[in-house]
Amino acid sequence: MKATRSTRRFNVLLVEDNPGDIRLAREALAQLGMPVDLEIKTSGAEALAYLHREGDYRGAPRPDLVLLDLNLPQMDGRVMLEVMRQDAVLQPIPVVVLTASRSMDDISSLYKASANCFFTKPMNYDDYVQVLEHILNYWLPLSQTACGDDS
Amino acid sequence: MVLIGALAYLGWMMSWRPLVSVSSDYFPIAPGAALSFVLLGGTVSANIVWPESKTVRYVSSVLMLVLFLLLAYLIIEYLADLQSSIEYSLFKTDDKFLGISTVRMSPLAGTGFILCVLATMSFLAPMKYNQIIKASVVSAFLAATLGVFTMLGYIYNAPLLYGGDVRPMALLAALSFVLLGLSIILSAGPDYWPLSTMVGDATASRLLRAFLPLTIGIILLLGFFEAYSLSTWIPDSPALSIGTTAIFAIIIFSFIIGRISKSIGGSIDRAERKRQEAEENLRTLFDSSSDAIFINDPDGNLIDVNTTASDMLGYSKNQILSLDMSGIIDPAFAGGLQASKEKLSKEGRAVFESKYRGKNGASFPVEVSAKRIEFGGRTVNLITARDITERKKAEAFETSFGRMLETSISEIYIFDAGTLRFLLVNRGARENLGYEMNELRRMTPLDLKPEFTAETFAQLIEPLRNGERETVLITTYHQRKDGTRYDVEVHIQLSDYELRPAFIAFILDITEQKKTERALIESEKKYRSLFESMNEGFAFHRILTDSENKPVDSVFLEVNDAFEKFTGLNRKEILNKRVTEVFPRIQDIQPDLIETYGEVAQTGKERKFEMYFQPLDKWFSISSYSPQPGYFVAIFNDISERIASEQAQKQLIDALAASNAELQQFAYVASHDLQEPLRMVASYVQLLEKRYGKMLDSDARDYIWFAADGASRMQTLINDLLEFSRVETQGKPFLPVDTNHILKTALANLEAAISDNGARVTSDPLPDVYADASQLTQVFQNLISNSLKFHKKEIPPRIHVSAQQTAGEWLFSVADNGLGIDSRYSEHVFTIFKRLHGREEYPGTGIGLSICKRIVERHGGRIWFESTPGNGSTFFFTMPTKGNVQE
Repeated sequence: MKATRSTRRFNVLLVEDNPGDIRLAREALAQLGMPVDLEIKTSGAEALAYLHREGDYRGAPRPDLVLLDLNLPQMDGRVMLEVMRQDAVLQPIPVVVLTASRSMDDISSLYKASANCFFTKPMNYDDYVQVLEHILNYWLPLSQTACGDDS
Repeated sequence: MVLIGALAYLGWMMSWRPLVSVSSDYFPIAPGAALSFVLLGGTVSANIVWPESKTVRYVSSVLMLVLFLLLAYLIIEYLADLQSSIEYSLFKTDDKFLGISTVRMSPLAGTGFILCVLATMSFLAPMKYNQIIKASVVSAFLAATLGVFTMLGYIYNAPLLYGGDVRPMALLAALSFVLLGLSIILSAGPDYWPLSTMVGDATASRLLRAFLPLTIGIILLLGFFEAYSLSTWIPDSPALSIGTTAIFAIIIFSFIIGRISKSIGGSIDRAERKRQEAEENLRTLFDSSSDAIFINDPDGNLIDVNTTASDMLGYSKNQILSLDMSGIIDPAFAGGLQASKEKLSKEGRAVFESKYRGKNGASFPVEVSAKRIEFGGRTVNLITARDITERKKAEAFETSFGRMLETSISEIYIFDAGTLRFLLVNRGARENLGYEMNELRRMTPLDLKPEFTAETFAQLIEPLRNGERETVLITTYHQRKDGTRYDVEVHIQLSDYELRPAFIAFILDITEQKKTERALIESEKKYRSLFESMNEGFAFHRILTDSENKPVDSVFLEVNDAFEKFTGLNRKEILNKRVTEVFPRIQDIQPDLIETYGEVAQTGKERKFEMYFQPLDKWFSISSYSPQPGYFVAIFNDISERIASEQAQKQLIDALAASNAELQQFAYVASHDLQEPLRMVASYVQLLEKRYGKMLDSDARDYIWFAADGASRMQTLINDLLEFSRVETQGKPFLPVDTNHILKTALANLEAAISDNGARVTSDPLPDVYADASQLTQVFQNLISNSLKFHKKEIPPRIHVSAQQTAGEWLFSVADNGLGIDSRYSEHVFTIFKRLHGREEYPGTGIGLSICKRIVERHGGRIWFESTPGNGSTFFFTMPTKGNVQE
């Protein structure tokens, strides 16, 4: 089966509090030129509200992918992941964890919490762009498959 | 009498008749006779008044001898019928009475005088000539009898009786003879005849006293009556006179004989009764004697035996009498009695021991006392026999016991309870003391025991005297005769010895005891000094329990110097006090304390424990044991300082652990949180170069490069630091691992570097060790990596890994042929981030060896190196063998 290039745009939720990283993600996405709308939430609570379409986020689109930073103020990324995995609606949304940690403890605990993927944030920009490209290519149905259509 | 003689002599001198004759009808006394009377009377009187005077006796003897010679001459004159008497020449007078010259004395008077002179021998002769004295008294009696007859002649008017026709004796002279004779008889005393027959209790004497005066008096009276009646009333009828006399005589003699019969017959009857009573008493005595009595004749035929004898032998009296002694004496013993029999017949008595055999056939020892006596008019043997079976037994016991006492090497003393003088001291004691028994008999225990005075010794034995105690025990010393001393333990008790109360003192087995005691004293000294000088506190307690035998308190019995030092308590103030007295609140504060000690004292189980003792605010390490049930000893040390230092150490360790944990947390946090900004720096520096690099000059691009390089190195440092901290935080448990396998993994990881350098890595067979496999891999990897890195140019690295077992650990070595390391850097190389070489020359942060050190130390090993710069280096590290692993 030949993958056809989809014309629809994808919605990716980035949960990240560091403005440097947010900018870096925007720069990288821009460089990649992918049809991705990046929604930014700087805290776990806000991100969960968005996901649950609570308050101002009534009618907000359901993200195709969540990019989650672990070191978040107030609500830790790990907690947020657990909440999502216990929610029937949010449970299927793939979550890719991006973190500076290389600790094996961190990594294994995240997989136990059913993170779909784990990435250590690369030290330089080029690597970052490359990693982001791999993630998006892998997790987003950029090449439409039969099972990828959720509409 | 002297007076009569003297007066008569005076009368002659003065020629006054009434003085020389009683009546003018009577014949006058001759002057010689009167003089003789004076001399004899004087002699007798003087000797009665002064019986002891020798002078009197001497003078008397001379006078009597002269008088005797004169009188003897007079008698010869008469016998020769000489007329020229010396009296005529002495007394110039021709006085005549009835035609007879009165100057010459009558021959009868002369005989009387001779008898009287002889009679004076009764007191002039020495006492030892008993026969002479007896004869003298008889002479006196004859003289007196002569006087009596003469006087009778005068009274009965019968001149024949007083001299007849020859020459009569004067009445006065006759009276004088009677008096003189009686005086001598009386003065000689009742021991001599005739007085001896008159005095005393003998029946004969009594009868004589009763009837002699009466008979003499009556006969005199009868004679006088007859003489008078014959001459006066009936001179013509002698038949009537004789008949009257006969009638009188019959009456008088009937009366006398009646009296005599009554007196003698009555006394004979009484005597017979008494004899019978006495015989009965004697028989009773005979039979009731506790000794058997046998009476036999010298031929051995038994005459009589008492009931004790039949009881003793079990035979009847008649059986014994028929048996005779030969049937009683044990035949086996009979032969031994010959000497005793001979002694009995020779000396009349014998005491000996024999053996009798009774009816039951058993023989028994007897003590026999045989005596030859006159009995019932014949000579017999009186044999008394006493059963001495018991005595023999006692003697045998005493003999053997006495010998035992005597020969015992223990010292035994017996001393009188009153005088305390020794009665018996056995040989052991005598030999030790050096005194003889005869010396000891004059001594008392005080002479041997210098420690005692009479008072203290009396106090010592008082409890024995008053019965409070049966024995007293003292420890003192005895002083020998030579002055040396020895220690003794004396047991004294009150008993008796030879039937009088006596103390017996035993000193048992003193030789061994002294030896033991000396050893004990030495040991006591030794242990006492040890006890006093030991550093540990010592307390000896007796436990006190309640009614349910539950320990509730204890009493201090002994403590040592160290105890006083540790507790600050004074021995004198606490000994014999209860613990609750010394520490009143102890039961509330530490109720388990007495419980613990109580358990030790009651179960005898030793306990060792450490305890905080609140009342003294001290820690003690205590070892408690029970030397005997109900008692315990606590030996303890003050460990307050040690506990304090331990606590300080623990605090330090806790603080260190906390600090370590914080440090690890820091390292972790740093590695995370430092990465973020670093990543920003690196990413944006790169983005800057990427977007604007073409617009910038070369200087600006250099700056960006330095910034990027710095960020990159900083990231390496952070990662190394993180890895370093993970040695502890990410460490795995130690498990048995094969080092050969570990090495293989490490080499695999380094495969690229090995092949790049053309290196050759060899190894000996390696052991299994307990380790964290990944960490041990890292150690080998880092060490080999270093060797690969610091190799000499142009010389490919050669690396050899080996291991050898040493005491308790494995010694691993990784040797190379590389650059070598100056020993100055021996510590330096293991310090984190220390580098010995320029970064350009040998890249790296210098964390590798630090991590090796940390891993090896985590495993309980050490790491070091030996190297000669330019000649390669060898890194050594140790891993404990199994059993010495500590995690």
